[in-house]
Parts: sequence; C-alpha cells; structure tokens
Amino acid sequence: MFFQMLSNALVSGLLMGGVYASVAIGLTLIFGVMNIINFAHGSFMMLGMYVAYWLFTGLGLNPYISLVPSFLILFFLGAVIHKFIIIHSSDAQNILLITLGIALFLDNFAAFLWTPDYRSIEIPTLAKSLFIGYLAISIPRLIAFIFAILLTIGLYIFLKTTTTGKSIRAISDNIEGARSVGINIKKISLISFGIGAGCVGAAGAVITPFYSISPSVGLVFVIFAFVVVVLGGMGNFWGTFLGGLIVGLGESLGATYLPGSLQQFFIYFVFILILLFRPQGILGGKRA
Amino acid sequence: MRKLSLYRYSYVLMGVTLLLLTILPAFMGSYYIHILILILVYAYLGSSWNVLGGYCGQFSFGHATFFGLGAYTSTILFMRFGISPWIGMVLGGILSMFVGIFIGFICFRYGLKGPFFALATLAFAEMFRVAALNIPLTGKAMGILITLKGTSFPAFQFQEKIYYYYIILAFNVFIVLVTHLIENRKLGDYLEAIKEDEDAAEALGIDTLRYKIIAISISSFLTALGGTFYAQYLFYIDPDICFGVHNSIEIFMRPIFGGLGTVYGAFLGSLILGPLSELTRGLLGGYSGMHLMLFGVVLVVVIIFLPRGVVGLLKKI
Amino acid sequence: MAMLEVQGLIKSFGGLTAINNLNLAIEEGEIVGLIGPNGAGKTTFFNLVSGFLKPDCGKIIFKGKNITGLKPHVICRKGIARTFQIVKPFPKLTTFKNIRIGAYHRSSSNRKLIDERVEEILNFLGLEEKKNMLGSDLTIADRKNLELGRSLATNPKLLLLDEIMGGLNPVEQGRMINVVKRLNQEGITSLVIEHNMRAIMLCSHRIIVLNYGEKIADGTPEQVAKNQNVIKVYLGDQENVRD
Repeated sequence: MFFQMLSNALVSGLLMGGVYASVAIGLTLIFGVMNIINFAHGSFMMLGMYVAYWLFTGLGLNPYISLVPSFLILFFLGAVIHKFIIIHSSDAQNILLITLGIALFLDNFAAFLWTPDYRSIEIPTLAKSLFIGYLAISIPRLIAFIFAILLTIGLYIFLKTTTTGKSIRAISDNIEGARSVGINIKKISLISFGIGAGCVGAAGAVITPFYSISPSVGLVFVIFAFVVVVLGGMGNFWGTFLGGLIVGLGESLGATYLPGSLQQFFIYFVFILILLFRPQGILGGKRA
Repeated sequence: MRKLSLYRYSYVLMGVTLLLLTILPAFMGSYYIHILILILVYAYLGSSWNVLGGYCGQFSFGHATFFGLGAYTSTILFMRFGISPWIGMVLGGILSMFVGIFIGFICFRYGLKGPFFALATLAFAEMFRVAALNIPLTGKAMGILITLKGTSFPAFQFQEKIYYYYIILAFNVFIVLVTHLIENRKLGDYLEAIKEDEDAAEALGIDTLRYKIIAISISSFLTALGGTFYAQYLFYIDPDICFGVHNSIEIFMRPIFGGLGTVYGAFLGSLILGPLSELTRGLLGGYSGMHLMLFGVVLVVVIIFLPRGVVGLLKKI
Repeated sequence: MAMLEVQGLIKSFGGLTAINNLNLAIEEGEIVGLIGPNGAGKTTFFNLVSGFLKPDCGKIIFKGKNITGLKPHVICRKGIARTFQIVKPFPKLTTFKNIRIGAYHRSSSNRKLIDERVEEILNFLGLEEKKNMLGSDLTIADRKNLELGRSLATNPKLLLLDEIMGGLNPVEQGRMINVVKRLNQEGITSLVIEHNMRAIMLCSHRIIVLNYGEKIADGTPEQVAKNQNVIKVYLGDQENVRD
C-alpha cells in the first residue's frame, strides 16, 4: 500500500514534471539569450490552451494537432510583442515590469473575452490510464511527458545544428562577439522570443486534455516556470528539464504526504534557497 | 525657472488638496466615501512601498507579506485575546518589521538585486499565503470574520464610514510627513545613492546592506499598519486578499504610475488609478479583475514613456 | 611606516592570474603613477585595495592596519577613496547632491557645515556653475571632476585615481594634473593609474610599472623611462600594433 501510493506519486510527479519542463523551456531560452525575465510567459501558455480549446470546440480539432497552430499563433504574438514593446525596455528590472504589465493585460483580456470560468476538453478515447501493476499512468499526461522530451530534444538539436540556433547560442554566450561576426542581434532576439512564446503555447495545447483552461492559469504556471528555470540553471536546457522533474516530483510527493497545500510552501522555499545559495542552478547556467 | 515655480506651489497645492479632502465627505454619499477610502488606503500603502522601492530602488513584488502580517496580527489578537486592534496594529507593525528585516537581510546579504529580488519577495509572499491557507490559527481558506461591536473606538470599529475616512486621511498625512523627512535628510540621499549606483555608493562610505535593511524595515512596518486598517474597515480577511500577488501589484502600481521616489507620487497615483479602476469595472462589467487590464497597459506605458511617473510629467510642465 | 603596504597579493579569475605576488609600498605625501599595458591588472589592484574584490592571498595594510577583505564602505571610512575608470555619477541627482553624499560621512553631521564643504569642493573643481545640473547631463570632463569631487568629499588620506584623465582634451588634462598636484600639496597621497605617459611622468614622484599582474619596475620617472624591461614591454606592444 505504501509502495503503491509512493510509486503513483512518483509517476504522476514525473509526468507533471515533464509538463513543467516543457512550459519552462521557452522561458529559459528567452532568458538565456536575452536576459529577459518574461512574466508574460504563463499568459502565452494560457492563450495556447485557448487556441486548442476553440479549435477543438469549433472544428473538432484534436489538441495534439492544434499544438501547431498554437505554436504559430503564439510565435507571432511573441514576435509582435517583442518588436513593439520589449525592444523599448532598458534593463532587467524594467523588462520584468513590462512583461508583468503584458501578463496582466493578456490574462484579464482573456477573462473579459471568455469569462473566468474554467473550461475543459473532453476526449473520451484519451481519458484512459495505462495500468502497469498497481501503477496508474494517465495517457494524456504520458503524451504530454513525451512531448516535453521531444520538445527539449528538438530545441537542443535546433540550437546545435541550424544557423539560427547557432546564432542564438552565440548571442547567449557573448553578445558583443556575436555582433562583431555580423549576427543580426535584433532579428535573432525577435525570433528567440517568438520561439519561446510558441513553445509554451504549444505546451499549453498539449496539456488541455487533462488540465482545465482558465485565464488564471497563466499566473500559476509562470511562477512555477520561474522556479523550474532558476532551479535548473538559467539558459541550461537539460537543467530546465531536470528542474521541471524535480518540481513535479516535489509537488506530487508533497501533495501526497503533506497536509493541505503545503507542498507549494516548500516549492517556494526551495526557490528562495536556490536564489540565495546556488543562483546558477543545479546544472549551472547564468547566475541569478 | 518653470520647474522651480511649480515645485514651490506644490506645498500650496497639497494644502488645498488636504483641505478639499477634509471637507469633501460632507457632500458625498456612502458609496463615494467608500471609493475615497480605498483610494486613500492604497495611496498610503503605495507610499509605504515607495520608501523601499521608489527611494531605495529595490522593487518588492511581495509587499502583501507585510500587509497580511499587519492584518492578521491585529485581527487574531483581537478575536482571540480581545486586544484592541490599535495595539494589535503596532504589534503587527513590529512583527512585520522583523520579518522585513529578515527578508531584507537574506536577500541583500546574498546579493539579490532587481528582478531577482522582486521574484524572491514574491516567493516569500506566496509562502505566507500558502501558510495562511493551511494553518488553523488564520482560519485557513475561510479567513477571519471580525465580530461587529458597533461603533467603538477601542475596538477600532465604526458604523459610519466617515470615521474610517478621517483615520486613513490622517495615515496619509502621516506618511507624507515621514517621506518628506526621509527625502530631505541623509537617509534619503543615501537611499537614492544606492538606487542610482550601489558600487559608487559603497565607494563613498555608504554601508549599502545596512541602509537597504533600514529601508525595508521602515517600509514593512508602515505597510503593516495599513493592513490593520483594511481589516478593521472590511471586517474580513483571508489569505488571498491579504497575501495574494494581486494585492502586491495594487500596492506598487500607485507609486510606479504616480512617481517613484517622490513624496506625493503614490498619493497622486492612487488619486488617478482609483477612479479609473472603478470606471473600468463599471464599463466592462464582468468580474473583479477588469481594471487589471488597464493596469497592465498603464504599466507598460509608464515604464517605457513615463519612467518618472505623473509627478515627473508635472515637473516638466 | 608606509601609508599603504601590499604584501604577497595574489588574485586569480578562473584560470587567469590577474595579480601575481605583488609587493609594493606607497609613502605618505607621494604621487605615485601606476602604469602598464592593458590587462596588466591595474584596475584589479585598485579593486582589491578599495575592497571591491577579495584577494586570494596576501595582505593590504593601510596606515599600519590590515584592511584586507574589508568592505568598500569601511575602507572608504578609513581614508581611502577611489574613482572609477568608467565614471559612475549618480545620474538623476544634481552635482551638488552627488558630492554631498560623499560628504555626509564626515564626523560632523551639521547640515550647514556639510553644505559649505560641498561648495568648497565645487569651487575647487570649477563645478560651481553646474551644481544644479543632473549627473547625467554633465560633459565627460565635468563627470571626471564630479567623480573626483565626490571622492574628495569623503576626506580621504589616500586617493586612488583610475584614469582620471581618460577622455579629456589636453587643456582639461592640464587642469586635472594641477588639481592632483594641489591636492598633494594639501596632504593627500595619490596613486594614479594613467595611460597618458606625459601626464604621469610630469606629476608623479614615483612610478610603478605592472605587467601581467607583476611589478616590473619601481622608481622615479627618469629611472623608469630608462628601464629596459619597461621599454621592452611597451615597445613589444607597439610592434604588434604595427603588424
């Protein structure tokens, strides 16, 4: 019985951890490249969820297919926001406030358009679980976990092999050096921000089969995304994946074994500890 | 020349405003007095935040922590031990100050600055919110309802809103004086130096850690007093109202919009944002967060185009 | 007893040794020039002395007391003031306020006396007209003067000047040299980093030359100018530039 509870908590923690990782990956890309702490990141995810929702409700489109339009729409939105707003900001503190403003606007505009009510996507064929022994593995969550892995690998390959990807890494490493070899900083920053937004939009689409949709979801996830990114090391992809898993596990174990909602308390506690004592994160990235 | 003249008039302007605010309620219905009270509460809270954020340049995203500590301390002491909320208010302020010193020491000692300091303070506020949601002392998610005792000064309760109005007005006068004192003394100059350039400040003999902690201790103490007032006015508190991130946002919106590091910034900010919020709510209907859409836009516009806020704009006229 | 003594100072950043077993002494009343090619460790040395960096090894002794590893504001209060290579005025504060902030820590907390001292410094540096201008609105020459003025306000016994003449035209440089000399006459010891050879040779009593974090010469300007090692270091650089 003990092992049953424990292993189920571990499994659901890992699966959810994958979700957190896929949400945070876009954030770490944006931070790693541009030192932008994007408070609107959760709002982008929330919008991605709504894209999937409306495509499902209106056209019957499966959310796993909708992740493409979600990515594209959020990529475009991210690029526009970057081009017209972000570009005007002067330092990290200002960017945090600006992106907070954007988040406030997006979250509440969504509430205005679609009311704050929770919505969900029901797909009976998917709403099943895989049973291995006494382990119950929810299929939609498993798919989301696989998506997280694919996303991380995909982005990793993109950064290593494509010209754009290499330019992104160059800027992240040494912006002056990148500038001097002729990399168009503005254009690449724009693309990075767009990719970051697109990724988290897609992640939003992917979790709609099991996560309820509402404008308030953004704020919840953005804070978790920050924790994951700082935990794993800002700008460090595998670190973010690992950070996601740790947060997912922590949350799941905490929810199982701690009274009430105290697991959240410990997640914030760990966040502060990392900020203070290991700001480069577990796997080492840019220092907080 | 222009700059000088408007500033000299600012004392006169504020005196007139104070006079107006003192007589205005006589002509207002209960609803409008309520609006004014809320405007003044957040003007006060914003001014408290301003000491740390505006003058010292350390932006806290978690001032709800201090607000909540003030509100819960006085409320719990009153409901459980019958201690007058006036005393509870001071005790709450002291507790809040110690927590502020702790948070400040931890963050500043380990070099958290700018957005990371902001996120850390947010995390602290969230920790308090989750704690309040889970421990019986604070009534968990149900919050605490304050028993009505009719109009009673020792119980810090009044049946007519007008009493609350004059109390919060007095709070505002108090904080304007405090801010004024700080601005014109060594403390104010030192805080601004830290805000402008910490390294240069250190090189000039300023113990930046010490002064940042002084700033947060003043700010946290003052903020907590506002929390008690709020609790006594609304008779109900819960973890979300007190420690929620929305509260922190409402608090720092005023000084950022009105003018960081100025004596009247938060006050002006609230005077404008308050009615605007009400208007937005009225126009767009829907649920309670509609005005946040406006705040989002305001935040972006102010940071990019009006970094000195409304006061900065006025100084240019 | 030397005013400033440095013993066995070592500082590395990752694999790079910026200061390598440095020993030197500055006597009271001297103007000492600190020169060396780019990357020689001059500013790092200043950062170590003023407390912005902690050395890996070694001691820094000021007026007989060990100040190694103390925080910058403590070192300032002990009597060492420094300017920054890239000036750091408080941009949104007036020139007057900028300097006054340095002046506060003097023992007297009398507002009037402090303001008088600020006026004195403003006049001394020719900033009187600009006292209500914001730091960000000043020209580079004025900013350099402001940087110096702020440091003077802290009542230092030892001044560390990091390329105080950088960005100044010859006339302004001449003025600055005179200022440094006059400060010296009033009893302030100065350690001056400079790239302008003429200027430094003119106003220093002694010159110390650093290269790769090590002292390669220490003597009067004439001695240093004839020092073979020094010539090699500088001529060597020039050869590379020509290529």
